[in-house]
This record gives sequence, structure tokens and C-alpha cells, in this order.
Amino acid sequence: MNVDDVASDDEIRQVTPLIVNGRKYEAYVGESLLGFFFENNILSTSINLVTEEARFAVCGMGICSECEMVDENGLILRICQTRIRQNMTLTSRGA
Amino acid sequence: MTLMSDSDVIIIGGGILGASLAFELTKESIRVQLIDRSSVGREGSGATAGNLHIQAVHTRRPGQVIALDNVRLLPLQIAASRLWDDAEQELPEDIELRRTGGLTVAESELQGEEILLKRRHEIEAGIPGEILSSDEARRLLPELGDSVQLAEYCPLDGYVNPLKVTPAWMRAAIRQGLTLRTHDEVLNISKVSSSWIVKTKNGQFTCSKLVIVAGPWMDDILSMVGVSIRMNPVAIQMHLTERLAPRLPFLVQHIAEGMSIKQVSAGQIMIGGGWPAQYLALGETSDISVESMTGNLSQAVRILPFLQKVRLLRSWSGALGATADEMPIIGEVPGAEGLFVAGGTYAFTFAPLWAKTLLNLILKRVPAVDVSDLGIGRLMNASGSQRAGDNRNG
Amino acid sequence: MASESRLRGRYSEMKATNHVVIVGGGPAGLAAAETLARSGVLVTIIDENPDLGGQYYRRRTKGTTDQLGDYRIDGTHLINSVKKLGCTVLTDSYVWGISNDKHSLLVENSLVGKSSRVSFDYLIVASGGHEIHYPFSNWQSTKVMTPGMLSRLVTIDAIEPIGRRAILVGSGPFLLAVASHLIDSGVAVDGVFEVTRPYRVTKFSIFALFFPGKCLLFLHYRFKLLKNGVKLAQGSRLRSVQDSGDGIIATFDNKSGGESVLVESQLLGVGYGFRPNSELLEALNVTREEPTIFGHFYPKVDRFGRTSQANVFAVGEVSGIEGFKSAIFGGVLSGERILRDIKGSQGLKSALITWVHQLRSIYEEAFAKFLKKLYQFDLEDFPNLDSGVLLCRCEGIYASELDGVLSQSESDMAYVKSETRIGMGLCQGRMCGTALNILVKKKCPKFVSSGFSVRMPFRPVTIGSVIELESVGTRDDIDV
Repeated sequence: MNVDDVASDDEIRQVTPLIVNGRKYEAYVGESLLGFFFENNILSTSINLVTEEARFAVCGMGICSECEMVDENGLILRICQTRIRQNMTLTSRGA
Repeated sequence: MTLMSDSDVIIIGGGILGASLAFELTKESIRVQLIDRSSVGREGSGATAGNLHIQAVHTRRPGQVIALDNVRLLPLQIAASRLWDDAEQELPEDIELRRTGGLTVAESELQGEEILLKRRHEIEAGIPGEILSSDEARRLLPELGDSVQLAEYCPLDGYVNPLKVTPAWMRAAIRQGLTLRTHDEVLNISKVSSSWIVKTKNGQFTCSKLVIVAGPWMDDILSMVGVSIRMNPVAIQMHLTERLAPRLPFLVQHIAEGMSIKQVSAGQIMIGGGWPAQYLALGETSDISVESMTGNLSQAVRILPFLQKVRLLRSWSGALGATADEMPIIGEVPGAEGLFVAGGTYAFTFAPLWAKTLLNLILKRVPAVDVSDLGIGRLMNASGSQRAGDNRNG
Repeated sequence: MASESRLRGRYSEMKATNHVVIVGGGPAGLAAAETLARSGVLVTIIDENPDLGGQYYRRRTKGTTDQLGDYRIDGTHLINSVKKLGCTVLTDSYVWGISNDKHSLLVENSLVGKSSRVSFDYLIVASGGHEIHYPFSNWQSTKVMTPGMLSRLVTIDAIEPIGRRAILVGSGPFLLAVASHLIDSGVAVDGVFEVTRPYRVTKFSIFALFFPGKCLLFLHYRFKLLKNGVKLAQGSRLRSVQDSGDGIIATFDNKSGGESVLVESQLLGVGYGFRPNSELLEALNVTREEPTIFGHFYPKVDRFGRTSQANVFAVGEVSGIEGFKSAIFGGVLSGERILRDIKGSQGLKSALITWVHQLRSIYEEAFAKFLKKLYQFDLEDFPNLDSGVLLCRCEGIYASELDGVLSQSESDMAYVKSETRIGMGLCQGRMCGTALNILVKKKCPKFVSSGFSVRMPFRPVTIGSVIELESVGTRDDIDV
């Protein structure tokens, strides 16, 4: 299994569109998604499957599962452990 | 200081069989004591998928050598089916009983013929169902994969939440007068004239009727009364996904391979079918087999392709108290008056039926179904037919 | 010379057969990798994050580094060294299971959602730990997080600090460290609220003098808080957080009674120490220490980190000793021990390194024990929860659900779980498991603390990813 890097060296720091729950932002490839969310006041990442509350990352280290979002390929990502890549689209898990 | 007390019936085993029987007995004001080495519903009854099989079951789990006689089980299944509806009425707690029906699918012509054959047997036994072509099956369940060629739909299949039903029966029995002893281990059983004496860690208890519904421990407990049988218990696996919005309204099974898939009340999809865990560790966790996991899940993805993107959350194993002939066990123990057993395969589906049957046998009434061929005599070793309670030969 | 050819023979034999897999790319895992790779051992290091570093050495992204410079540059050096020495690095990779024969790990690459097997001859588990939680009213507010996350946002993700305010709550020296990071970055800290009372002078405090370096560090933190007017409270139990406009109002009480204290701020970082990410160790069934009162399991290990299974080591936070220095020493010691196993005695220099590290690790362990005693909990530090407090976050189960279940005289974890569904959600009890142990223990003294039983997958993986294992062979592959 080959591990694909999220971005080649040339791509890092390029500006790319980032769509979060239908809203379009501009971001840098290779930057931290969690930091981006904070800076842009995106305060919800997932919707709780039982209570339907909007939740945000709690632990920042892949434990709580509340930062889960679905990407453009239908894969569930933990945004606290993911970096921004080209043309990313994210939707709240549980939405 | 040891406890001593006298009951009419002592039940050894606090799974679904013990709980449902305790409920039936206490309903008739019979004094009952139930003993379990751990807590209620901890073993097979808590680990099972909770399926209620009313259409004919597949004859083999993966790796199972002897095919079971699924035709023989049909009249018992239809009887159990009616009793499950009663159970839901009688129990005040929500046991999450769902009777939305079940599909059995075939992926080849040969498998399709097996379904047609099984349907003919079901018709004789009075079990409702319909044969569906692949188009009809897909109209009923659009999620079905392309490889499904033929299917049968039976409206009576369903499931119940195993974590709720055993405690619910047990609590209802306690309200009706059951004495429950959990975390208590049976050390010794003897017979004095017509009374059984059960010695546990915490005391000594007597009764006139003794019932052993201890799952894979049945042979252990029976050996205490000098009855020697062989159980062939096996640990099987279950796989559970994350919660999903409702999209699978029926149980989905495969005619040939061990596969049963359903979406439970909480929205999670449970995938099982009798795939074996690595080995059986009685009373402990039996390690999950990766091969069984990939095997079971590969089939599931073929039949329901949407599962490809769904996340597996957990897997676990549970002990199945199976016997060499893979059939249920029920009845009074030959040569041991007042000693009754129940267990073997499909105990979960048959639980309310075995409860009523044992009740009738204990009260010397004629049971509603004929179970004479399912007695434990067939499993007893030749030397094991010494009189129970006769300790001279040890 | 005879000894040379013997060494070469050993080396080639070793190269062909000995593959060391390290799970966790934090200080412990990196130190072990460096030790082993420097002596030519085949090493694969697996980490679930996009880059190595773990928590303590988490890397800044290129953009942040260009703007603000590097952070904890010794981490960068260690990571570069490990990569230069030829270790195979699998990032964005999560270990979710083990093979039947227990010689391979089941690993998923989260970027592509595909799993594979990674075989090992030796396994070093350096998977770290995560913060312990205890619920309070409105715990699920989006402004609540762990101290670790707050620290990382400010120091690594470098969010704009000016105008931000935060409070640190819970227990442990980590709260002081995080407060210090926040102050350094320009975030206003509205207080540090410790639930135990470690900052009193008692007879026990005298032991602090054995650790002069640590004392100085504590004084440094203390003075920083004082200088910046940051309140350091003890004996404060967090009871609720209310969302208030853009900020929050946190309410504290005291276990011995007295008035509630209300504190306004914007963000709340709460954590009560760490519990081990021990799923892999539990699945391997290594011998464990007795569970702690919180139901946490630590593996029984020798001074080199070896568990009851000769080819499995546990080092760093996961083995129970906190602190990044201990992690590094533990990593080096496990590496040196494995080297000795596969290549025989390594000579005087290696023996000296091993001795020195053993001594240093004994010192660090002694300090860790001192800290544990200093920050010791009693059950009253954790208040009984009001019925409206969320207990199991994933499954939306409130504390009131426990009442009926706890009236049973004998409760064990499996029973509580099966009756309430607590711990059955996505996090599989990582967020609520400790609190559940505490709550049940308070009500049923006979209760035996326990974790939730560990099953595969250790974290959710797609079914598509699992069935990949049928077609993919074993990654035994790393052909040298």
C-alpha cells in the first residue's frame, strides 16, 4: 500500500477553495483544518447521532469522534488529524 | 453461615431460557429460585444477534460439519412465533420486538432451488412466505446487490433486543415471586429421596424439580448428577456498525452461507451468521477471528453494497451451546425424575416455547408441541445412563 | 577478524528476519526508532496524524513555521533524524486490530480508507494517552475542550490569541503548563481551577526538594501566573458551563460546602490527568497491573518496557509514566533492549547509555509517583451528577439513567453498559468510561473498577476497508 501524501511540496501553501457545509472559503493547502475552523468561527463539526446537537472537537487528538466530517469522497475524517488539501469539501457527520 | 431454603423449582442458568421459564413458573405461583454464576444474560443470551427465525433456517454455519434438520424445526418455529407476540403483550418493558419480516437470498440457480424446496416445506408447516424474483426482490429492497437471483420473504421473521428481553423476563419473574441468586456458583448436586439438593458457594437449596438451562455449561452441571453428555459448544461472532438513518426494514439472510444482516432499533446494522471466533474460551472473551470478520463482511457487501461505506464499530463473540447434531435439546432427563434440561441451537428463537414446554412437563401436562425426539437421551453416553443421583459410582 | 565476520553474519541474519514496528510517533516512539535505526535495524513507525511528533512534539505546518518559526525544535530534529536513518514512516495510519496469530497489526490509512496488515517481529507500543473527563452541566458546549486541545490550537495551529480568553479546569500539573503556554502566546487566562489541593505546604511537600529542577519549573509557572494576575484555585469542582453570548460562565463549587464561584471567560479547557491508549495492548492480552480506581489498565513492564510477551514493549504515556523525558528514556531503553536481543551485547558505549537512561528513568518515575500523591483524588472531588447532566456524549445518555441500574447490589461494568448503553457509541467509552467508574464506585462500594472490554476495531473503520484485508497480502514486504 502506498501512502499518498496529502500534497506535494509545490502544492503546499497554494490557495484552494474549501467548502464546509455548503459555504465556500479560501484556504492554504497543507494547513491545519482545526486551526482554520477556529479562525473562521466554524464552531460545529458534527451533529450528534442521537441528540442531534451540534458538536465541535473536544479532544483535538482523535479520541472523542466529535470532529468527524464527511469529505468529497464520502470518507469520514477527523478534522483534528487532517490537513487541508486541494478542493476539499466537508460536511458535518450526522447532518 | 450458609443459607438454606426450599423451593418447588430451582433453575440453573440465568440466560433467556432461565428467565422466560422463571416467568412462566412464577405466573402459576410456583416457588422458584434461579442461580447463575455471573449476572443475568451475560453469556450467549447477551451476545447473540437476537434474531427470531420463523422461515426455515440455513442448515450450516460456516465451518459446521453436520447439517441440522431444518424441516424438523418448522412446526416449532411457527409455535414460537405466536408466543413472541404474547411475550410483547405480557412484558411491561419495551423489549424492542420487531416483526418486519425477513428475506432469504440466493445467488445461483442451485441456491434458488434450495429456497424453493424450503418454501414447500414451510407451506406444509403453515408458515407464510412469498418467493420473489430478482426484480421483485429489488423492488422490495432496492439496496440488494446485483448478484441476488431469487429470494423468499417471510413476514414473521424479526428480532428482539437480547440486552432487553432477558432482564425484562427476569424482572417480571421477580415481581411474581422469583428468588434470584446471581454471582453464585453451583458446586454440587445430590438427590435425597425425591428432593434435589443444590449446593452453591453461598448455601444449600432444595427443590423437587431441577432445571438446567446453563448453555454450554450444561454438560458440566449434568456431570454433577452423574449424567454424562457431550456438548459441542462454539463461539460465534457478531459485527456491529455505527448508527445509520433507517434504510434496512427487514432481516436479510443467505440460503447457502452463514449471513444474517439487520438494522436494530438504535439504527446500527448487525452482521452475523454464525462465523466462528478463533476458539471458545468458556466464561471469558473468545478472540475475534479476522478471517471470519472479513469473510462475513465480504458476503454482506455483496448482498448489500451500501455497506461498503458504512463503518464497523465493534465485533464480539458469544458462546453457542451447540450439540453434535446441531439440534435443540429439551425435556426430562431419562433416568432422572424431576430433572429437566433445555438448550442447544436456536434457543433464543425457541425461548418462550421452551419455557411453556418445560412448564407443562414439570406440571405433568401434555406440551403443545411434540418434542419427544429432542430429548437429551440421544446425547447421553452409554455409560452415562446410570441413575442420576446415584453416587456409588462417583 | 572472527568477531567481525560473526557480527556481519549476525547483521545479515538480523536484517532478513527482524522487523520492529513502533505504534505512535511521539517522543517515546521516536526515541526508540532512532536508537534502533541507528544500529541498522528495520523499523516502521506508524502514527494516525499527518506527521510524526505525537502530542508533545506535534509539528507546526509549513505556513505557520514560515510565519512564526518552529516550535520545540528538538522535536523537528528527532523526526528528521528518524526519517534520515531510513525508518519507514506510515502517517495518517491507524492501528485498529491484530491478526489471529498476533504477529501482524491491522492498519488503516485514513486518507484513502484502505486497510493492510503490517507484520512485526518486535512491537513497541508508544500510543500515548488521552485526557480524562468528568461530566458537568452543559459539558457538550462547543466552547468546552481539553487543555491539550487548547494548548495545541494556540501553540501549533497558532490561532489568533489577541482577544481570546480561556480558563483551565480539572487536575494535574498539565494545567499549569498549558496556562503558561497560553500566557506566552497572548491569550488571557481567567484562572486555573484545580479540583484537588496540591498547592499547600504540608509535610509531604518536603519531598519536592528531591527534585530541584522540577521545583524550579513549578516556581516559574507559579510566578508567571502571579505576574499575569491569573488566579490559581484549589478544591474547585466544575459544576456547569453556560453559554453566554460569545463566551461562557463557569460555575464551581467546593466539596466541603461554601458558596459557588462564577467565572466568565470564552473557552474552557478541562481535563483530569491522562489515561492510556491501551487498546492494542489489551487486545494482545499482555499481563496487566491491577486496574486503577478509574478502571484504567497499565501493562506490567520491566525497566526496559518489555511486557509479559517477550517481543512486545510498552513505553511512554501508555505504560503509565507521564512526562516527555520519561517517554524518551523509555524509548531509548526499549530500543537498546531489542538491540541486545537481536544482535547480542552492544559494547561498552551502549551499556553506558543504557545505565544512564535507567537511572534517569528511575528519577523521572520517582517524580511521577510524587506527583500522583500530590494530586491524589478522593471520590468526593467528583460530585454526584444532577439528572440533567450528559454522561455518555456519543449516545446522549444522561446521568439519571444510572439511578435505576445502580440500585442493584452487584454491578459490574458489563452489566451497567448492557442496561444503559453507556459506552456503546462512537468513542467506545473513552470519554465517559472514567466517570462511569467513579459514579458506580461512589454508589456501590463493592464495585470492581474496570474498563470497557476492548474489541476490534479499536476505532471505527469502513467495512470496505476491512474487506480489503482479504485481497491484500501481508506487508512483510519491506525488502531491504
